[in-house]
Amino acid sequence: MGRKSVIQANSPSNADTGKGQVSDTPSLDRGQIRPEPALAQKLLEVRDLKTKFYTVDGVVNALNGISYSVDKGECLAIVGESGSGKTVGVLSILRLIQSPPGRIVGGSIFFKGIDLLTLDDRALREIRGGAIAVIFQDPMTSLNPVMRISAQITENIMAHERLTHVQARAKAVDLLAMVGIPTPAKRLNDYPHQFSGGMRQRVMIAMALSCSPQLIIADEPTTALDVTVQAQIVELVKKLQAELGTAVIWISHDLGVVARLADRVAVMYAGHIVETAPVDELYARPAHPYTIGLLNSLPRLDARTKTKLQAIGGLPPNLLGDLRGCPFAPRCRFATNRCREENPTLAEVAPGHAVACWHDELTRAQA
Amino acid sequence: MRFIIRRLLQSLIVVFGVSIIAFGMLFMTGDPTEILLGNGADHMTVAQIQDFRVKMGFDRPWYVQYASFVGKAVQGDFGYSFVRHEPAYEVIMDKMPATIQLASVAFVLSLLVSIPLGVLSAMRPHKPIDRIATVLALIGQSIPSFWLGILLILLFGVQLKWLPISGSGSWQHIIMPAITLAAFPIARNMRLTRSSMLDFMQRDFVRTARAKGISETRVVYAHVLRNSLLPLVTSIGLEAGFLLGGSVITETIFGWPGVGREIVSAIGSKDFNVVQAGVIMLALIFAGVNLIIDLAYSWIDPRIRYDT
Repeated sequence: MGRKSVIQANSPSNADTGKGQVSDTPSLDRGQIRPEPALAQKLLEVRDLKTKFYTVDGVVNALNGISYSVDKGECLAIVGESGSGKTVGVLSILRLIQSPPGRIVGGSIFFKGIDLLTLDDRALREIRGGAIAVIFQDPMTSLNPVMRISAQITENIMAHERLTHVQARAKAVDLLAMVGIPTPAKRLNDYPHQFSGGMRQRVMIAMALSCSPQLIIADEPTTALDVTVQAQIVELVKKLQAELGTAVIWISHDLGVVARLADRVAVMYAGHIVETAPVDELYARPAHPYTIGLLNSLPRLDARTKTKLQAIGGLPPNLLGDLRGCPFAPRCRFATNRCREENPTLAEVAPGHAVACWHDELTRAQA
Repeated sequence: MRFIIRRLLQSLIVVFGVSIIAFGMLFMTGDPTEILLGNGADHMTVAQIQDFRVKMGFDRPWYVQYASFVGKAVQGDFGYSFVRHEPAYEVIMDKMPATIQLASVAFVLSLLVSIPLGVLSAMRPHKPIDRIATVLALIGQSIPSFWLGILLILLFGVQLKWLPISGSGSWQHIIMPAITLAAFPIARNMRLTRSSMLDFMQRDFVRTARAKGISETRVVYAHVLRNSLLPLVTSIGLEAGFLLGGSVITETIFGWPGVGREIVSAIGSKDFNVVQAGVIMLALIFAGVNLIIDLAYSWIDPRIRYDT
């Protein structure tokens, strides 16, 4: 799982075929696909999603009931530090969590009104790479090293569309041209190692776009790339999103990238969403102490010289076992006894702006 | 193309090394004149012995002798067999088809059994099929081939009388020696396939493949297995040598008329020219097979093809 391996490093078994990644939680209605009329306008609606990893050291509570939604054509950014559950949160949508040890133990994921957690393998495969596509973090390891780019793109196309091999190849050429790969017809026969990191990520993007998805999940797609290449990829995704009207979930720990790209931001901490707001609102009026800490820890161009970079004191909590109270309380300078006893839930403080904090008014006044 | 030429040169170096060892064998055991004459020397005068030495060319410096040995060997001339009184090269090449036949059957058998079994195990780790395969692999790796051969003869040859116990000639003759010879490679390759598959299952690109919505079968065969073959090919290359040269015991047990058995009997009768011819011909085949394996490697892994 690339950089996110921290959580799964204690896997009791490295032996997994990846089948059946969803738990048999009895509370979930299985085998039924029922549209939810009330949610028809939302493209994706995640409700109270819980994912755990059953490791030899104990149960890691990677996701502790997160809820969020994505509208058609919207770009939602999920930010947070390593191990906060960002990647697990989005990989759970397509049940791509390594299992064992990972298991989705509760919640629901409605995509266009259909609960993805109730789908059988075949129906899920139709969604994977079709209506929902993923761009992974590390383009160096996310492409098969011994398979030509052409085969890797066309297998995605042919899994979802009734095209001949020749037609699929022609489409692959168009896709490579669209993501800005020079001489695409020639490059199609190359292997991944013949591409640079940025070019490989373009190939990944071309692959993700191949079946005109309505939602693209981008899991830190620029983290492994140079800064200049990062900027190119961000611009590319922005352009394609505007042209194709695709919704994007963009995972990042880079608040600079998020500011340029996202419509809305969800901040994650220790497997919880602690704050969500439209991007301008979040940067202008952050309400959760953790969000404030994140924004303060950014280096600023307009800061006076010799000012020290601010950091959030302490370490993120260990997700092994159950946590009591607000997960951020041990590091929070506003924490009270209530924070240490009760975990706050998301509450709206302004239109579209929700925060999970008992003292958000206090923190905002002080920030 | 440069890759092929480089590998070809490396193979030549291997054969060169083997030729030195094969040539040196004659001298490592003492004065070749005395060895060749054996007890016959007791009835000869010193002058006669010296005559024989000069006739055989043993009085020349070793490098002159080596040069002459190589010069003849490249023309297929390894001298005469002292025992059979026919060219040593022909003695060996008469037996070569039988050895290659046995090695090929064992080789194909080992691949056909080990790879599917390894894949099955990796698909269901720690499930019954995996446990059974693991136990079988343990047995296959630890049983000495002479013992397995004898057990097979006892069961299928003596008790059940299904298969001939010795010799060659029909397809039934090759079954037991092939199984005996293949047991170890089957066990090793099965374990290698299993661990390699399990390793590659965890890779990022396998997750990418799953995210495309392709079938699990395609994920396993097109993505995981092809990558898993890389470490396996190295093992298979070594195995080819093992099957060709290491079949001495199996050939002896089953009376299989191959090169290995011929070399062993030639060593017993101090028929050095035959030993030299046998060792060098096996080395040539071994180098050739490894060359093919290297080329296969570059075919499976494009990174090797282009980086060199």
